Formats: sequence, structure tokens, C-alpha cells
Amino acid sequence: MIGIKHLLIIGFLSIITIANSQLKVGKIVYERKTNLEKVFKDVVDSDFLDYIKKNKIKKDEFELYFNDTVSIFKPILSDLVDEMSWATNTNTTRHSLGLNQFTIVLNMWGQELILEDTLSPKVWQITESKRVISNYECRKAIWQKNDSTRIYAWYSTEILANAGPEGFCGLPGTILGLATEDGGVIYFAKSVEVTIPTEQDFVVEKKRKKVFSYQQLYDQLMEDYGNEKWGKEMIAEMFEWL
Amino acid sequence: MKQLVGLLLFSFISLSAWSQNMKISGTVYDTSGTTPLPDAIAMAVRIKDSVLLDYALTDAQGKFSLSKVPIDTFTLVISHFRFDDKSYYIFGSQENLEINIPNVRLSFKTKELAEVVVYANKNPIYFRGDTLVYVADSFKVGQNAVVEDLLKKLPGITVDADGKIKAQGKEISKVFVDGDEFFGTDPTIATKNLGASGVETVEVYEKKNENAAEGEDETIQIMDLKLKEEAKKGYFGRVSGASDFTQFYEGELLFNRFNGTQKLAVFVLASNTPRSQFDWGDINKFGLDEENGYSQNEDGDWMQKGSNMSGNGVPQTLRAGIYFSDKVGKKKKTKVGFNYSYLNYQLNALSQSYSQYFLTDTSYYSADSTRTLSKNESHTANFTIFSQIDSLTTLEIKPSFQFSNGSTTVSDYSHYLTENALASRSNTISKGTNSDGLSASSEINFTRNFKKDRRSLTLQHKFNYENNTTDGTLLSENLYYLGSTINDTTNQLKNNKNTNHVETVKATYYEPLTKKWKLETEYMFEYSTNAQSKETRNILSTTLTEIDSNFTNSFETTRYQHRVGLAAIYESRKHTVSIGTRARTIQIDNYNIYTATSITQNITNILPRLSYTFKPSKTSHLSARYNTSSMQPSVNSLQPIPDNTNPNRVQIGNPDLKPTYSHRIGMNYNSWNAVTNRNIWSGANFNYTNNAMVDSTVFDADGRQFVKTVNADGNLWTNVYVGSGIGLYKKILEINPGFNASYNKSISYINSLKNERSTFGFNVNFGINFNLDSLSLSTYSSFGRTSPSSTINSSTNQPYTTQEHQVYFSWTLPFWHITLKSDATYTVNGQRSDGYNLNYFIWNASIDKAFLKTENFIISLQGNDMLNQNIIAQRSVSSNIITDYKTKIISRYFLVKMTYKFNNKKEKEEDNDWN
Repeated sequence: MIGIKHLLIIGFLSIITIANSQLKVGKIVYERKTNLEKVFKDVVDSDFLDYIKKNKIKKDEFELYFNDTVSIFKPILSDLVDEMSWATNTNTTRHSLGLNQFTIVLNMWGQELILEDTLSPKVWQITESKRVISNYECRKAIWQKNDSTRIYAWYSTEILANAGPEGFCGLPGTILGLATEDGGVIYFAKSVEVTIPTEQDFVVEKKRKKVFSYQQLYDQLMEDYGNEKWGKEMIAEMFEWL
Repeated sequence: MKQLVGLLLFSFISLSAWSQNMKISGTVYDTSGTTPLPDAIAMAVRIKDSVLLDYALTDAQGKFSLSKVPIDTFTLVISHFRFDDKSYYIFGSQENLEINIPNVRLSFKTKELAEVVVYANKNPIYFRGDTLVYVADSFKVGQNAVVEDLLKKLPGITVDADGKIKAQGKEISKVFVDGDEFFGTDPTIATKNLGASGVETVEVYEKKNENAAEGEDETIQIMDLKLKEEAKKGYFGRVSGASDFTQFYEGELLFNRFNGTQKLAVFVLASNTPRSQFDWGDINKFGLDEENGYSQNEDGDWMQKGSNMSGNGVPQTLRAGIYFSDKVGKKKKTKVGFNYSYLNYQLNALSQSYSQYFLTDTSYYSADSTRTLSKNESHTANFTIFSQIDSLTTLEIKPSFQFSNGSTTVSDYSHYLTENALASRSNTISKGTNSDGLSASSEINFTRNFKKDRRSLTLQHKFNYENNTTDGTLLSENLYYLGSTINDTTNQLKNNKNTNHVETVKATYYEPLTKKWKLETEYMFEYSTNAQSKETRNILSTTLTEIDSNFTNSFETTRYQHRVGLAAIYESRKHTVSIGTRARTIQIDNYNIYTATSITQNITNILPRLSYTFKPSKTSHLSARYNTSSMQPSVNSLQPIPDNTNPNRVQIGNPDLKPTYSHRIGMNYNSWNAVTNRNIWSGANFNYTNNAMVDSTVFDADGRQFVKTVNADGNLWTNVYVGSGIGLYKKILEINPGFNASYNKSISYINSLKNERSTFGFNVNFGINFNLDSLSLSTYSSFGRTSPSSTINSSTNQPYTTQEHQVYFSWTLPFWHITLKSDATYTVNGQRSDGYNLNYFIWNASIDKAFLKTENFIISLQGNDMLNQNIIAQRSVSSNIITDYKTKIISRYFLVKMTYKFNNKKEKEEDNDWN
């Protein structure tokens, strides 16, 4: 209960000082757009590709709750039917800032995989490029994940939480936009809300007990599915944001 | 843009650095220069690679401190969202590890002006709307030049040493090839690898980044390389021939050529082995959609096409055909397709059967042997046009034609024995038929979606016309051994004509009521006419024939059906419910031309249906449904004259037949767990039919059957099944246990006595798959038991069993490009009549060796049924008859096979292996 009180005080202070100062606590709703043509670029079946073309952009919504000690990024599941729901997966990521501890619930074909680990900080390159997302001015930073993958992040210094989509952090401001270099997957903030998250908002719902570390999970999946080309692609996709 | 205000040079000496960190601190003030600014950000960004080294926020006194910055040259950026950034270049060194900037004063934001670029307009460079187009051939490049060389020649375009392209001074973000990205996002892959001579035009345009990766208010510059048509061509194919140099052969040719959106496939298959069809992998790879031997019916079930391709006998097959498809129109929104297939199939079948007949007061036996020679030839042509008229409307037109002719010669000898095994009668039949058929059909589907989500309208028109003529002869001779019956002979000529014409129109409309509810309304009208005439003439002498009025008739049927349907559908992420009903009226007029009598039936049905689906996750699925259906009698079963095509089993029509009415309940559950690598599938079905069309059979004293179709209540069938796949040892091993059971009850009449026959059967099976990269091994075993029971006579209540055991393996040797394959099946039949309890072991094996660098030339030796045991043995149990069949089919043969695979890339051509 001390936690809640603590949060309340922080939130209260934040609201009072909001006019002049930056946001340190609140909720951000993101929309993720996945370009399925790029996801399925290796497929040769032309009828399937025509179908993909018609439903080219798959949208998913997420919410990020944050304060100065913890953040959680989780999907907002719509109760409506989505015929393209098979095409993308959604993960939940909780980041405890002080311990740099991540709890990630990965989705593999509807099954949950729980990963708990400290993840090494990312090396960000800061650029001069700027743009406005959801009325906040953002600056572009680049993470060179490996030789072939670069991830773009737009962060705003107006929101000071060290947080972002899929647990991305380490920039001097909250990440409001995140994208792969080819624009195949992009996250953009739709709305920023000044609200005080409750303890309940930060709870990760786990259906399974087994918890993996990053390396354990990666090794396990490589062992199970790494022999096949599609398996490698699937693992690459699952670890794309880690 | 960043304003560079201060440049502080702390040192010019840069010594090799130990891993020691610098300490940067300072105090930030607002524009006044006196009020400290809290929550401003100070960050250190390394000059050489823009990497963020460290950052910190200012505290309430405006103070910041960075302690994780290694010794390097970097920019210190002080920023706050209400002010302009301020930057300092810092050259760190051993001598200057601590830097303090005591007074950082931020100034108000300034606005930037966007730059405006104006393009030149010159020939052979022109604008199409906002797109700048360069005609590639106007610019001379060397013989093996790549696109990059071409770009360097284009005015206004510059290419730097890294391959980065600028047009009119602005960087090109993306290079497309024919509107699509070319092998990934790196623009240089296209420009450095594509030949310049293949390029038609180079187009440059600005567009909003659809994916908003670069910003809603930002545009990016795109270069699109439009290729000349000949650059989009290719082909692949396979040709093979196999022979045993004495009797058997197989040959095939498959070729596929693609040219832009145009696709052409040609195929030929000739064989006199049981291999009469292409396998699924080839059908899929070469796009031969109509060659799979199956077609889908109205309910979505797959039905086997054509007749008697079951391989019960010695076949001879020739198939050939051509498939063509293309996308036409300005935007390639219309897909047109055409295919033509020729099939010539001959079968020489020899089968034997032994039947036991059980009547209330007596029983008897028959032994039968039949030789059938059939030849069938058909020409089939299908057309398809599919057009995306606009983003909401599609139109599909599918006409189809088939011409076929066939001939069948049957010679049959049956021998009847009494209960006491005394010969009572023998019958010899020889008959021949020649048939010609024409069928034409078309289907038009029009689908319109609306701006309002989930509202849609579908209109369908179907047309079907068939015309079949059959000419035949029948010679049947009976010899009687008991009593005083005089031997008899039937010698007839038969001529049957059948014309069938059906027109159907159907409209379906969906209207969303709320976000989760929608309403389905449907109307269907069907009109059909059928004319069937059967003429039978008795041959009195070589020149004289006379009409046999017992077997001659002409019959016309007209049918009108109106059907309306209404359903409410609820759909959410986890639950889908559909509740609805259909109502229909059918009017059938049967007119008998010979007797000038007509029978009219008026039928009204209410057909309710209900379904529920629950999807708790993406990988599990539970569904339950209830529906009702009604089947109408065929013209053959209505026509009130006997059909003596098989003189030992004469069919008589029944013009009073009513349509059936069935209730069906089905349930299934599937789940797949990828993490534990387990899956399960299971289901149960229950079907109950009133007014079922059943046989009423009268046996005469000589073992002949006279069968009339009548209505009866109470037919039912029900089944349950469950199967599972369990992966073990990292998916190297998978085990598949399975179980199914069924119970059926059917009514029939034997010599006017009602008989209820019920059958209970179950099957337990177990499979193991073992998979390594070069070796795969699998086994499958099943055990089944069937217990029939009949109320009229308990003699058919004899249970029987079937066991099957299979082993398959394939091993690619690590050297010499050799692959070994073997599959073996052992079948055990138990508890049947003597001579039919056959156990047989069928073993096929092959050895393949690949040649050439591409491994595209393969020589293989195949052995089929190497132990020479192939036979088809089956037991069928009907109300009061048990029949055991044996069919002679192709047994042992060996083939030497040569295969050559090819493609335009001169690479290894991979097979689409679906086994």
C-alpha cells in the first residue's frame, strides 16, 4: 500500500507542475502498423499476396503506463473480430528501472513464453532529424542492432520517463515513435494522457509458470525450430525488439 | 536545426586513453540567465558516430552532471522543449577529464523555413503529374553497365562513392523496381546489380511516407525503376521417363513459363502403372489446380472427380493439357485464366466376389467373377475472369465445358448355391455400352462491399447443362439346375437419353446491426428440368427387334424451388454465434410421357440451423453446430420402370418418393501448443434422417434381387474421433496416437420385412515419426474391428478385423548424391470367409542418384511391390448379404527412371515435397 501512496504523491506533484514542466507519469496509447507485404515478402503464392495487398496494413493497439520507477507496455485487445489477427503477435513488457529488470511475455502462436532478465543497454545514435508525434516534438535516434537491422526511435524530451514501446528505453525522453528501417513495423503514439497509474496497471498477467532468461529462451527456440528456414525467421521476428 | 553557440576547446592533445571517464557538469538557466531551469536534458553525443554516451536531467537548481562519458570528441547538447537546443563541441583528453560549464543560457525557439525545389523540364526528361520521368534509352551507357552507371548520366541525379543517390540535391530514400522494393531496403542492391539495359524509365517522385516512418508532415523522395518487359521472364520444368524395358512405362513433362503477370503451364503424363495422377506437390508448384482429381461441392466438401480411377485393375493413362493465366487492364486488376485438359483412361479389371445371402427362412451363396474393360476419353476446358472493378466490388465469371465419350465391356459369370451347397443357377452376362456426354456450366459471382464496414451483398448465378446418350447391348443367359424352371435368355438393345438443365440465382446480404451483431438475409431461386428416356428393344433375330415396354419409358421432371434464409450472427474475438433458419417450397412436376400421367409434389420445409465457435486463443478452437437438410430423390429413383442393366439386381423406380429430412449435430475441438509441441484434434457427429431413401429388396427363388427405393424413418449414424501429435526430443521424434469409433443404423426391407441393421466399429492407430536432416523414418499401425448386427437374420452378425502396419524411410547419403527410400505395408484381414482372410505385405523401394553440379539430373531404380503380393481384398456387409471382394491389380514391377529438372537460372530446381 505504500507503493500506491508513493505513486499518488508523485502523480499529484506531476499534475501540479505539468504546466511548466515535463510529464513524468502517465499513459500513452500507441498504434502499431505492420506492413504485411514486407512480412510476407518471400511468399510466392500470388493469390495469397493479392489477399495480403488488400489487407496490407495490420493495426494493433498498445498502452504504456509509466512513472519514474517502472513502466509497462501491453496490448489493448479489441473484443471485435479481426480476420487478420493471425498475422501479428503482441508482447507485454514490464521494465523496472532501478533494477533494469525486464519481464517480457512473448506470444508464439497464441502460447505465452515468459522471459525475465536484465537486458544490456542499447547504443543509440542521435540524429538532427526531428518530427512531431501526437503534438510532441521528437528527435530521431538510431539503434544499429546488427549489420542488417537498424531501428529508428523518436523520443520527446517533454515526457521524461525512460520508457517506450516494447521496453525500448535509454534515451533522454520517452519514445513516442519506433520503426524498423524499412517501415515494415512502426509504433506511433496516438494519445498521451496525464493519469496516475495504479499498482494494478503494472501487474503482468502470466498464464504460465516457466520463466526463461534471454539466453535460455533463445537457445531453446533455436534448438526446437532453428533447423528450418521458417523457424529462424520466426525466432528473428520474436527477438526483433529485444 | 541545431544552433552552435559555443565552441570550447579544452585541449589539443589527445593521448591514447585508458578506460577512464570524464566528468561533465554545468548549470542551465532560462532566457533570463538568472532563473535556473530544472528538467532540462544534457546529453553527450560522440561526433564520429553520433552515439549517445550519457545523459542527465538538471535538478531544481538547474545543475546537471554526466559521469559515464569516455574520453572522446563529442557534442554536449542542452535541450528543453520550450527552448532552442544549445550545443558545445568537446575534445576530451587525459588532461581535461573534468569540464564544468557554469552558465548555460537557453534562448527561445526559432522557426525554420522549408526549402522549395523547382525541377527543370527537358526532353527526354518529362513530368507526368508530379513524377519526373527519365527515358533510360536516351542516355548512353556501356555494354555491361548497371543501373548506377545509368543514374550517373542522368541530369540532376548524383551518386556518391557509397552509392547514395540524390535527385535535385535531395536524398533518395527508397529505390523501387516496378513499384516494389527490390530485395530488401538497401537502394544500392538494385542500382548496383540490375543491368541498365533492362530499364525502361527512371521515375522520381515525392510521396508521403505511407508508413509514417519518416513523418506525417514529411515526404520522402522515391526512385522507381520501371523494367522492360523482357527482364521479367523465366521458366522451370521437369521431364522424366521410366520403363522396365518389357511391359511398364511412365513418362511425364511439366513446364512452367512466367512472363510478368503471365503464366503458362504445359503438362503431359502417360503411364500404364497405377501412377495416373500428378502428386499434390507438383499440382501446387505448376499451378495445375484442376488436375487434383477432386472438386468441391456446394457444402465445401471435397469430392472425387470422374469415375473408376481407384486403381482396381490395370490402367493405362494419358493426360495432357495447358494452363494459362494473366492479369490484364491498366492496373492489372483483372485476372483471366484458361485451361484445357485431355484425359484418356483405360482400365482392365478382373474381380472376384463371394456372397452369402441370409433370408428369414433360408440362405444361399453366390460366387461371381467379372472382367471389365473400360475406355474413357474427355476434353475439358475452363475459363475464369476475375475482376476487381473497384476497391469494393469484384466480379467473377467461370464458364466450363466438357465433352466425354466412353465404352465399357463387361463379362460376368455368377454361380448360385443353395443352403446345402447345391448348384441352383448359373448366369452369364455380357454387355457393352457406348456413351457420349456434353456438359456446360457457368458461374457468375458478384460481390459488393460498402463504405459501411461489414455490410456486403453477393449475387450469384449458376447454370448447368448436361446431355448424355448411352447405347448398349445386354445378353444374359440363365441355366437352372434344380426344379423345372426353363433356361432363359435376355438379349436386348438399350438406348438411354438424359438431358438436365439447372438455373440458380442467389442473393445474400449482410447488414451490421451493432459492432458485434449482423444480420444475414438470403434468397435463392432454382429452376430445373430433366428429361430422361429409356428405350429397350428385344433382339428377336439378327434383323428384327421389338420394343420391350416393360423396360421403356420417357419421363420429364420440372422443379421450382424458392428458398429464403435469415440468420443473426454475433461475432467477437472469442465467440461466434449464428442462429437462423431457412424456409423453402419446392414444386416438382413429374410427367410420364408413355402413360401421359403426371405426379405433382409440393414440399415445404423449415430448415433451422445453429452454430457456435469459441476461440480461447489463436491456437485452440471449439465449435458446435446443428443443422437440418433435405435431399430430393433423383430422377432415376423416381422413374417407375425396372432397370435390368444388372439382371441379377434389377432396380425399380418409385414416383412416390418424398424428400428426406435430416438433423445433424457436430462438434469439434482442436488445439495446438507450439511451446510444448503438442496438438490434439477431436470431434463427434450425430446424424438422424427421416424419410431416408432406403432399399426394399425382394429376392426371388433363383437369387435375383428386385430393388425399389422407398422412404423410411430412423436412419442414423454417429461417430467420435480423437487424434494427437506429441513432439519429443526437440521435435526429432513425434508420436501420433489416434482413435475413432462409429455406430450406424439403417433401415431396409427384405422381402417386405423391415430390417434394422446396425454396425459398430472402432479403430485404434499409432504413428511414430523420426526426423533428422538426411534421414527420416516413420511407422504407422492401426487395428480396427467392425461388428454388424441385423434384426432379420443373425447370420450376418459376424464381427471382422483389419490390421495395417506401415514403415517408411528415406535416407540421403552424405556422399555420391544418393537417396534411398523404402515403404512397406503389411495388411492382416481376420475373421472372414475362407480364402478371403488375406494377409499381404507390399514393399516399394527406390534408389536415386543425382548428377550435375545442380543435382538436376537424376537416375533412379524403383521397385514396386517387390514381394509380389498386391491384391485388394474388402468385405462389405449389407442388411442380409456379406460380400468379400478380391480384385487383381498391378503387382511387382521394376522401373529405371531418368529425370531432368531445369530452370532459366541454371540452378538447382527444388521439388515441392508434400509427402
